[in-house]
Amino acid sequence: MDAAQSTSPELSSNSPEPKPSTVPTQLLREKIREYTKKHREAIRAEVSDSLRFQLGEIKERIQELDNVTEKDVAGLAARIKRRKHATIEDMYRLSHAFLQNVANIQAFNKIPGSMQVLIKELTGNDSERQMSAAECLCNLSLGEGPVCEKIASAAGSYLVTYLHSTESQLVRLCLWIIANILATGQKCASVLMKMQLLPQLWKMYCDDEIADPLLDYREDAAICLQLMSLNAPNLMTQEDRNFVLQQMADKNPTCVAAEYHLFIVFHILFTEPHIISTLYPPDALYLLNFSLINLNNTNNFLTQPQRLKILYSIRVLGNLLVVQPLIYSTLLLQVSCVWKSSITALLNKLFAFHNEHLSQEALWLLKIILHLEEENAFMQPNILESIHIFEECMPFDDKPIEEEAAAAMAV
Amino acid sequence: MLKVRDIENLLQNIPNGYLKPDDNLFAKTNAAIILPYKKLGAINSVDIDKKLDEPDKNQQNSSEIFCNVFNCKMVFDNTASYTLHYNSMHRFICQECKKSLPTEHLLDLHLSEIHDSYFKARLDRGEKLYKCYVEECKEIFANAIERKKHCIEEHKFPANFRFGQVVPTKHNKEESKNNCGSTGMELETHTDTESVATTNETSIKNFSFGHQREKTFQLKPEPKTKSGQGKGLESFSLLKDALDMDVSK
Ligand SMILES: [Zn+2]
Ligand SMILES: [Zn+2]
Ligand SMILES: [Zn+2]
Repeated sequence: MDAAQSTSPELSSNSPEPKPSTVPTQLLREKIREYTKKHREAIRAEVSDSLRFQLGEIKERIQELDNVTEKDVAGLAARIKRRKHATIEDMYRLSHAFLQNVANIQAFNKIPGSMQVLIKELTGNDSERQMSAAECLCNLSLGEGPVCEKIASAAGSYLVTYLHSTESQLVRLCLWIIANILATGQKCASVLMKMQLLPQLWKMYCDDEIADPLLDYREDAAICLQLMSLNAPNLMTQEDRNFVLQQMADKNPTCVAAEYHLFIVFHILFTEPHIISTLYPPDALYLLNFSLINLNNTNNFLTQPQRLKILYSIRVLGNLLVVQPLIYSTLLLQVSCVWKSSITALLNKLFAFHNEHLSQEALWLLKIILHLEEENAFMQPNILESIHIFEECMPFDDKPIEEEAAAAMAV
Repeated sequence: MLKVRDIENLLQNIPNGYLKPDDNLFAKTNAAIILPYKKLGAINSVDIDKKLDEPDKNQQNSSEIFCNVFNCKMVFDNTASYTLHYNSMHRFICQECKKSLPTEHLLDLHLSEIHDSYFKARLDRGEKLYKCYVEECKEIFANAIERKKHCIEEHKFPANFRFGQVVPTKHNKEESKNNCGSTGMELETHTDTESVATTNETSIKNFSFGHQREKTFQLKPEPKTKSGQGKGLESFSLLKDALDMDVSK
């Protein structure tokens, strides 16, 4: 499958046989092992067999790994291409090289046909080489647009196919590669989007009947969906949107990765106000309840999941109330009967987190609620008097925006 | 604490009504307090020492596991690498011709298109029966060539998609005639282990694979030299001691 596509003559045939690089593979493995051992206590136990690193990060964390050079990479690439086969050793070295810097990734990408060899191993009948190839492609996907586009078009069909594999580590690696591609740009994301990726990810994300923690892909699938909804909402087809609309209520608000749910739904569906204004009552009620669960059960605004839950509940709730004002009475009822609380107590909880960005959004929600109160003429007379906002968490006009953002980042 | 008048003043600067996801108010918050996704690579971290301490290794230190699936000659030195091999290579295997497929969906397609005589009969009546390779896609086609065209054009599959079905010869010919010149594609004609459907009436579709792992590998008491393929493999095992470094912070 690879021979036909690797005919460009320039680099390939006259690349020298690679000299064995200065760092033996055994040492690379040794170092990874030491590192894993040393940090075991610090890291939460994971089901995966892999350590995850950002581009270049491995060099900071593990010494003595800086010797896989561009020249080594070009040599390895030329060799696997010539043999139309890559050994586990070859791929392990390449994996390390790609983790180190983007120059190594580009050096590999310059050898035509080399990626095809990795794909051949990915789809071959040796499962250990298959896993090495998947890992190698995962690290290759740390590269920029052009290399990710190449991975998407050459390997995308297999990545999507293997999401249905029974081998959990392979599924996970495919999800990681897909996430990296989706994060890289619209051009490479668009290739994957054409493979019915959204419904497939959705099913993995909402599947709450998981027999074995090894087979729990909800978090990884959620990250892919989040990236898709954020970076490529314009690439979604009407079919994709309809799918989300129909399956929206599949996610249980108390299950793993539920903090992503309103984010995903918001970025996919709330782009079109008419979709929200015509939501079926059970779906509108589902969003209302999901938001109330998030707001009532989240008691801090420190971690990413807490922030996602709170912010997206406000955004969903606010917009929902604007286009479906009749749901306001249901909201009041739920807040008092189910949560034994009041709308002002709920808003005060948000202001009490003392985050100025959050406070801005809570004010937006307050404004919508005040408007609904007026409209319905059952204005609770002193709703504003019961609102507690602390001066120090409100930005005032004299404060430049940059300073504001920096202060928030420091939190 | 802000007074009512202060709050009213604040509210004047807050946008009104429906705000789309890309609105400035939300974008500002996200930029300030939501961490963006950082691309992450992966490196295998299975602790080989730990693996050697596995109970099954202690008990049968010199044991080897032979995969006894038809025509497979792989040998393994631990259950983890055997499990990996079995899951990715033999989980979805055709009992009829022993072809191994990567997913249940592709095995289903294989079974009906290659071995199911009822499928052939319905096809001859002119029914559309060829399901898309993409499991979530519900399109169905009159023949394999149309499906292939669809997969390439709609799903951006490569023309040489490796898990494509071999089309029975008879239909190949008919379809080639019908589609002559319309596409530049070649039929998948590799015939390694594929056999053209027989008149066998057994309903293969309902077979249950029921492959018991215990019965599958044989533990040999005597140490033996490993085959070339098994040699030096440091398995990506299913050990749970590997740890995830989520350092996106
Ligand atoms: Zn086997
Ligand atoms: Zn078969
Ligand atoms: Zn299709």
